[in-house]
Amino acid sequence: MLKPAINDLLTQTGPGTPMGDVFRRSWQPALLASELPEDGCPPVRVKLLSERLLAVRDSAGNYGLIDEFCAHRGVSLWFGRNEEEPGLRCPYHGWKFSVTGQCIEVPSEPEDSNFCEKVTLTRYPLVKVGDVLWTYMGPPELEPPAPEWEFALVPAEQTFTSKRWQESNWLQAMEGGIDSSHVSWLHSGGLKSDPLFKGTKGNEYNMKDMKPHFEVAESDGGLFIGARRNAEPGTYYWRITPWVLPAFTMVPPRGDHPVHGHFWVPIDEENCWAFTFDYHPVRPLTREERLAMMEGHGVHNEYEAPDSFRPKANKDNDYLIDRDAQKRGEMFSGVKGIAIQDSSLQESMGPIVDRSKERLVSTDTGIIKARQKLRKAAEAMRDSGETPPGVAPEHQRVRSAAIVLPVENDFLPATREVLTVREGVAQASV
Amino acid sequence: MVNMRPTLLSSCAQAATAKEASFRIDREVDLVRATRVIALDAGAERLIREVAEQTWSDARFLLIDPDAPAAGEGEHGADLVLKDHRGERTHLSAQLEGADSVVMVATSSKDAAPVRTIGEAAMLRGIMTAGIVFGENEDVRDVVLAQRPYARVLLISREDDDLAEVLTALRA
Repeated sequence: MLKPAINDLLTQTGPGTPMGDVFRRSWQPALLASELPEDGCPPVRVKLLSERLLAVRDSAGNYGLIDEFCAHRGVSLWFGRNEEEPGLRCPYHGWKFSVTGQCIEVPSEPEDSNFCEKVTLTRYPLVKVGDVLWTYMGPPELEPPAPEWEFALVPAEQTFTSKRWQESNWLQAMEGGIDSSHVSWLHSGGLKSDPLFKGTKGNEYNMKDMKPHFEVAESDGGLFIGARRNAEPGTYYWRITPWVLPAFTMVPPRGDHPVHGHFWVPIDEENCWAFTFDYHPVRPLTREERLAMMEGHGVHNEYEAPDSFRPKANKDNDYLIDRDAQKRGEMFSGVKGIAIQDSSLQESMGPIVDRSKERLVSTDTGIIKARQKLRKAAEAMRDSGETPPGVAPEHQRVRSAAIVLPVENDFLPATREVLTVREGVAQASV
Repeated sequence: MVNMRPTLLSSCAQAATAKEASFRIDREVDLVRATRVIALDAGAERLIREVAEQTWSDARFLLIDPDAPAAGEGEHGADLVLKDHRGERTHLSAQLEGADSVVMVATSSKDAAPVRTIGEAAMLRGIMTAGIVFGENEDVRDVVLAQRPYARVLLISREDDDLAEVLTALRA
């Protein structure tokens, strides 16, 4: 249960909102690098944190994220010409802008006029790290170091990122990422059959103990949420999920399969991007793994159309629910795929769920604690300008883990090392 | 090829809009979770005394009474003498009547002994048990270990207001 005012505080992320400001203090995934595939390519419309923007890669290879609309008459610069002499020219009256948002030509003005120097569009930096183009939308003087998430730093052959449009507020999507108690139910079918999950010892522990116990511990960047199941006598099987403020979650790994996780980035208050990554810390992804990811297996998804980021199974087709498969227990909800199993239910809550009507239980403690940390971060930034957790590079050097420990071991002290990025060392996984 | 289906009034496309969300039944949630909060040590006692001053629907705040005589065995196994936060003596067995959940609160491992009695008593009655442990590492290791067999969820906390936060969220 959450009071409506707190629900508003956490779910509203537009300009000038406390939660929006938390997002604006760290680098956020803006789009996939593959969306701007070459110098001088067509620009891409990007809506983030309720602002309409345009991602541009000019003919000299510079990236920028600028106001989508021309400073002159407000037409969309998406129609603009990305010219050979670097810059984006509005096709309406020929005003030209650089990727820094600076107007560099106003054809209607006299040749020696300096009018264009006075015209700038709002602009945010856009940098390529890994498969992703990242932006920082906060005060320029507080720009943090570039992102240091491991999935974005490993060599290209070891990582794969996709993105998916989710038609709900970011918070109910993110809460799914730290809600370990739904996995044994909603996703139970995938463990047996999905090429990116199947065949591990951990899956056997999962299926033998459907009522895990949970431990929630704080980290400097957010939380670690441990789900504990019985393993061999005298041991527990732990699956440990890190959450870093505001919107980074990782899924505990399975065997030697690649490790995956998400960023849940607000598009506006009723839509978000799920950026979904898969990587292996020490080896290239195999051809089969990469193909499986592109085909929508694991935590990825199939798409409605080749150039669309909307899933093939979406609310217009009732997520292609298969009631026979539901009855057979092949797919617990009858919806195919981890990602769509989640999005179908999270979108069904309505665009922004009313948390004042919830009936939470003790096993929701991870969610309760995450909301508290988000609220405190937003209030501390609003009231005293405090930098929120998750901005510091050291908060980003986290991993998930799946590990068997003796019953007498506390999960956090015993796993602190494996929950930290160690270059050249594989993930802790069974 | 996407399997297109006609959008009907009960289809997801129609049902999951903001407009439809406004038609959700707007009935007051009258669920109250009868919660027994038990402090295991002096630090936890201080914390729960503060929280007890707030308004709760059905939360009772209880302390271990170190001076109490042994309570012996009851119908549901071992019992324990407790006192409420005003100092009135009571029995664990009486407090668990009608309880939905038990939250054990600890700040150190010094007084972990009653955990087993509380945990087993709750388990025998099918009462959900949770633990909040304030502190980290060696200071609280034994009390975490003691609670682990019984607590469906354990929160290892750094912040004093976690108890109130969790109780509020659970409608205690």
